[in-house]
Amino acid sequence: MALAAAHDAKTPLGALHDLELAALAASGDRRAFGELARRHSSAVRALLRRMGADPALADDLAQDAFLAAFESIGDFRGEGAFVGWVKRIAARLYLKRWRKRAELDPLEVEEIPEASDGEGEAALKIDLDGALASLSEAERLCVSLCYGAGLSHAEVAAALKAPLGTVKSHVKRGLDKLKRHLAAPNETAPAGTGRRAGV
Amino acid sequence: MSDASFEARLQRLFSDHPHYPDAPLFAVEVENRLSRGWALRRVLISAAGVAGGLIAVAQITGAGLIGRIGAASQVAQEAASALHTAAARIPGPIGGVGQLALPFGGEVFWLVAGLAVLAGALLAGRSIQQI
Repeated sequence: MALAAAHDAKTPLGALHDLELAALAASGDRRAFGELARRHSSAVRALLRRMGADPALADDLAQDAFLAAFESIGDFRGEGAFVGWVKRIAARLYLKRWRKRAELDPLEVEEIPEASDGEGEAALKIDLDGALASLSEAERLCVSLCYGAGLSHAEVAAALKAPLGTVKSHVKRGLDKLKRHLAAPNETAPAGTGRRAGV
Repeated sequence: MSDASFEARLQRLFSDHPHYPDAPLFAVEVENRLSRGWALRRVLISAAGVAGGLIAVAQITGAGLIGRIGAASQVAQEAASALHTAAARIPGPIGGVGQLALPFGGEVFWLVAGLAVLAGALLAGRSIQQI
């Protein structure tokens, strides 16, 4: 690849652009890919956690996503950001896991109570993670996929094997709740709420 | 706040993520898993090559191919010799055919053929590596 050929061996990997690193990785340079993982692992892990994965699962899936990305690095054309591409791979891996679990343990639709008013410094902080915790699992998943992983409603519906209308209504409800939380700085979600709802 | 501006804000919030302190360790683990995968793949390919080679040798030996090649070579040599003798008996310009016979024996022919096959295999191997 031209970019890989242009890479001077003396240039530290940290100084290279993502596209150059991806080109080197495509030619089999695992260290270059390691640099990409170093740069973007936090973003991928954070997305998986925001989608609802617990930290251990998020880390495992993030690693699997990077390995899958390396395997298909030739498919990465550099049309979008590398991190966005890996995020989509990670999101699909999580969805696969999520669907399997949903088949074994069908989820019930559950009404989510409104978040109570917060107090003190923490309540003043605009916290996406806290706001996401106030959403049902399905809403959180759909919103994260659309706004975190950059999937379209149709792609989310296909990935979840759910009707498009259902996905749209989950996104709409999720957005409404987030809007309320993020618009009012004195409102925050109760921490550690484990909510589940069916798609 | 309008829907569009809220959605844009939400996308910005999603792209703003925490930086985990163990990110370097995470990357090392990814590199290690990649290396393990490559090593395993190399071992599997080598094992498949050795197994294929052994099977090919066993098949060739079992089918008595070497014996058949030897026998065929013997027949060819006898036929060439007979032809050479017959041509030498014919008077005139045709009798000169004997002078134009190949200047090497059957062994050299098979050696050249073997080298050609080897060169072909090397070329094929090289092409596969480049792909």
